[in-house]
Amino acid sequence: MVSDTALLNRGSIISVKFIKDNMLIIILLLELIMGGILSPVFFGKNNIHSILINLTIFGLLAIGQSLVMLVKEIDLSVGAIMAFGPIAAIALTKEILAFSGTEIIVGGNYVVDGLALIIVLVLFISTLIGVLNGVIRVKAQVPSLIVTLGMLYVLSGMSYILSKGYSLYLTNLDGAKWLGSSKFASIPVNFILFLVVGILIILVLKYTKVGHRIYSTGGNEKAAIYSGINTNFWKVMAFGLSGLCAGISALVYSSRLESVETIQGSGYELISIAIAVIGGITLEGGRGKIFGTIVASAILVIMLNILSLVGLIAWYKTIIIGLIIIGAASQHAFSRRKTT
Amino acid sequence: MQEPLLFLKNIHKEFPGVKALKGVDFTLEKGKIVSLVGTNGAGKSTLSSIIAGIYPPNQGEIFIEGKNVTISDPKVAEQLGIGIVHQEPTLVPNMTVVENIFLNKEITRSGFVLDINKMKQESEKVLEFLGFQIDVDKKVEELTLVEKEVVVIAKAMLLKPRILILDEVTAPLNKVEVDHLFKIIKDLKANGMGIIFIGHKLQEIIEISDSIMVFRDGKNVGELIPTEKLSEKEVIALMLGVILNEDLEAGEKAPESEQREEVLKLVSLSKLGLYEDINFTLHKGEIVGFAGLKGSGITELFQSLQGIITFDDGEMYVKGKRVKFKNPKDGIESGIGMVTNDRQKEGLALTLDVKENITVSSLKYLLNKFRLIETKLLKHNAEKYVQALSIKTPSINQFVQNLSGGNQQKIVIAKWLLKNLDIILVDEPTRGVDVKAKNEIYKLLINEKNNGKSLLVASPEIRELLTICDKILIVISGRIVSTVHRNTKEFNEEDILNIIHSAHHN
Repeated sequence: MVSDTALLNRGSIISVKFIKDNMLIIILLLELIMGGILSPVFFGKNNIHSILINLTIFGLLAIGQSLVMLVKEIDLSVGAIMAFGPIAAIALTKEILAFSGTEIIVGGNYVVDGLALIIVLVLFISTLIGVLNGVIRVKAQVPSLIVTLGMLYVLSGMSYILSKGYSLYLTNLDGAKWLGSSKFASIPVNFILFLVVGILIILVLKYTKVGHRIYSTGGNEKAAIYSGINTNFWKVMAFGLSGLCAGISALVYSSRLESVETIQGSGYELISIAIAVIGGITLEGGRGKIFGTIVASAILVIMLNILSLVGLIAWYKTIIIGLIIIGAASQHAFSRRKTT
Repeated sequence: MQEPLLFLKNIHKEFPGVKALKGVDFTLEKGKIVSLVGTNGAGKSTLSSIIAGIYPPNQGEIFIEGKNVTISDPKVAEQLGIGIVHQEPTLVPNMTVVENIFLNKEITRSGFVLDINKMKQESEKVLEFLGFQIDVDKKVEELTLVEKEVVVIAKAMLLKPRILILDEVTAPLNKVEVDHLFKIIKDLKANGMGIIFIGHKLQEIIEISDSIMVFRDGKNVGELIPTEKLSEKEVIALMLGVILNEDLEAGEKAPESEQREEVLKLVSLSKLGLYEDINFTLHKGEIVGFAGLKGSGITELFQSLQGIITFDDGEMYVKGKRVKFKNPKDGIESGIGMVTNDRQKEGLALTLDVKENITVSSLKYLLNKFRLIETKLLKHNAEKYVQALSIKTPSINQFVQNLSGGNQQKIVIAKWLLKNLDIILVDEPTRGVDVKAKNEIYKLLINEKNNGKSLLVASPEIRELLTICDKILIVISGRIVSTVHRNTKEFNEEDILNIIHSAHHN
C-alpha cells in the first residue's frame, strides 16, 4: 500500500496517518472547541469541576474495565459494586463500632462517625468482590459474562436489603466531603487521584513485566501458558483491580453527593465498557491502551456535558452515545484490517 | 561410559479413551539428532509433550544425564534445559517480536523495570544466529508464516537449551529455507546440543538425522540409521507395518490433456507487488503445479482466481467467458473452489463436527421440500466422503478439532469435492500431514483429474508436484519463469531446483 504521507505535500506534518494515529485526541480537541462555541458557560469554573468529577468517576470504572477486557474477560458487576461497597462497609462498620458502644447512624439514616473504617472497608470489600469474580471465573470455568452478571444481581439485592431501601446521608460526617469537593491548587483532589491512578497503571503496563503478563494472557492465552505464565492469577488480578477501581469511584461519588444511594452506580458498568471500546480496547483481549481509555473517558463525559448544556433531553443523549460506540469500534476495526 | 543426555524408560500415557504411549523407551545422546516418525496418533507428539513438561506420564521414569527428574510443567522443563518449538506458532499476535521472544523471561533493571534495549539486542543476536533479518519491533501479527516460525525457534533458543525439540518446524518452509535451518541445526549439534526432530517429510528426516525412531500405535517399533542405503520406502514400511505401493498412475495420461477443452485461461494477469504478467491455460482433466520460493506470489495468485482478493490488470476467462471476481462467492458460482494452506483458520469450522464441516458449503442441495435440512441426506453425503477419502474418525459426529492434521485436510477437500466444482485450487495439499494420508490425498487428487476436473496445485515440495502434476510452472517473485512438462527430461527435482536457484540469483 502506498504510504499515506506520500500522498500529500512533503513537509506537511498533518497526514492521513497522523490523523489515524491520534484520532481520539483530535476528537477530544474538537469537542472542546465545540463546547466553547455552543455554550458560554462551558469553560466556566463550575462546569469544569463538574466535568472533572464525572471524568474521575467514569474514568476509574473504565480503567478497571479495560484491565479486565485486556485479559479477554468482562466485568458487569462494577456498577453494583459502587452501591454495595459503601452500603456493606457502613453496615459492617456499624456492627463493629457498636461493640465499643459507638452508634454511627442516628436519626434513621444519618451517618455521623466511623469514616476511616468505612473508607478502608469500601476498598477492601470492593476488591474482595472483584477477586471473587475472578476466582469463580478461573476455578469453575464459568464465562465472566455470566459470573459478573450473577454478581450484579446478587449485590443489587443485598444492597437493598442492607440499606432497607433508604439512602444514607453523610452530611453530618466529618471529612466525608473532602474527597468529593476539596481542591489542591484549584484542581479537584479526586481528579488528581484519577490521574495518579491512570498514570501509575500506564507506567506499570508499559515498563514492567506486568504489562506483558496481561497482554499475553488476553492476546493468546495458550502462548502465555506455554511460556509458563500463570494466566489464572493475572485474570484474578485484573478482576480485583476492577473491583478496587469501582470502590474508589464509589468513594468519590458518595463524597461528592454526600450520600449513599441504594442504586448508585446502576448502569455504570455499561458505560465503562462503552468507554473502553471507544478508547480502543477490544473484546478479543490483548489489544488497546489505557491512555486511549482515559482520552475516551474525557470524550464521553464532555460529550454528555455539552449535550446537557445545549438542553438535549436524556434519551437523545443515549442515542448519541450508542452511535459513538458503534462508530468508534468500527473505526478501530477498520484501521486494523489487512489491505487487499 | 557417559550417561545419555536424555533417557526415558517405560513411558505410559493415557488420555480419556485412548492409550497414546504403551511402554516407550527413548534415548538421546549429546550432539546427536534423533527423529521421531510415525503416522498421526502414533505417539510421537505425546512423547515430546511429556519431555517438554506439558503433561506428565502416567508411568515411567525420565533421566537427564543420569539424574532422575520429574518434569511437572513447562517452566521446570525450561530450567532443566529443554526447549521446544511447537507445531502451531504459539505467539501473541498484538505483541512485538522482542516481547514474544522474551515472554516470561524478561530482562529487568533492578527487578522491576524492563530493560527493553537489552532484550532487543539479545533478540537481534539470536535472529542473526538463525540467519534471519526481522524487525524486532514489529508486531508478530504482521509477520509472514515463515518469520513467525523463526521467532518461535528464537524463543526456544533463548535459554540455550541442551535438549531442543523441533515439532514440524519445516512444514511452512521451502527447500532453501530448510537447508538454511538444517545448517543451523548441524551447528547446534556440533556444540553438543541433543535434538529431537519430529516431521513428516521423510526425505528431510533421512538427511538430517543420526537415527530415526519409528513409532507405531503408541510403541517404539524400531530404530533406523540413515545410511546410504536407507530408503524412504523402508521407513514407511516400518511406520505402517506394510509395504506401500508408491506407484500412482499420474504419468501416462498427461500429453493428451492439452488437447482437451480450456477451462481456465489467464492473460497477463497482474497484481501490484504480488505477481505480474501471468499467462497460462488450464485444460479439462489436468493438474498444473506451481513451484516457487517464499514471496513468489503463488498463494496470492490463487486467492485472486478464487475471488478472495482481486487482480489489478489482465484478463481471466473461465470456460471461455471473461470474469473478474469480487468475492469468493463469485468464484464458486463460476465453478472454482480453493483449499487454502491454513485449514485451522480458513478451512474448518472448528466448533462443528465432521458431517457439518463436509456439508457446510452444500446445504442448499440438502434441503427437503420444506426448505429445512434433510438430516438423513446430510449424513449420507458425509458418510460417503468419509468412506471415499478414508477419513479416520470414530464417527461423523466427531468434532473436527479432535482429528489429526491429515484427516482434517481431507475434510476440507471433501467439502469442496461435494460441491462438484470444475476447477479446484489447492494450496499446500499436504501441509502437516503424515505419509499415509499424503499418499491418499495424492490418489484423491489424481482421481478427480481422471473424472474430468481440473486442478491447480501449489506446493513447496517439488516431489509432491512431480508425483501428481501434468506440468509444473515455476514462479519467482511473481513471474512465471519456466514451465516443465511431464515426460520431458527436465521433469525432475534437481533440474527444477536448478531453475529456481538460478532464476532467484538473477
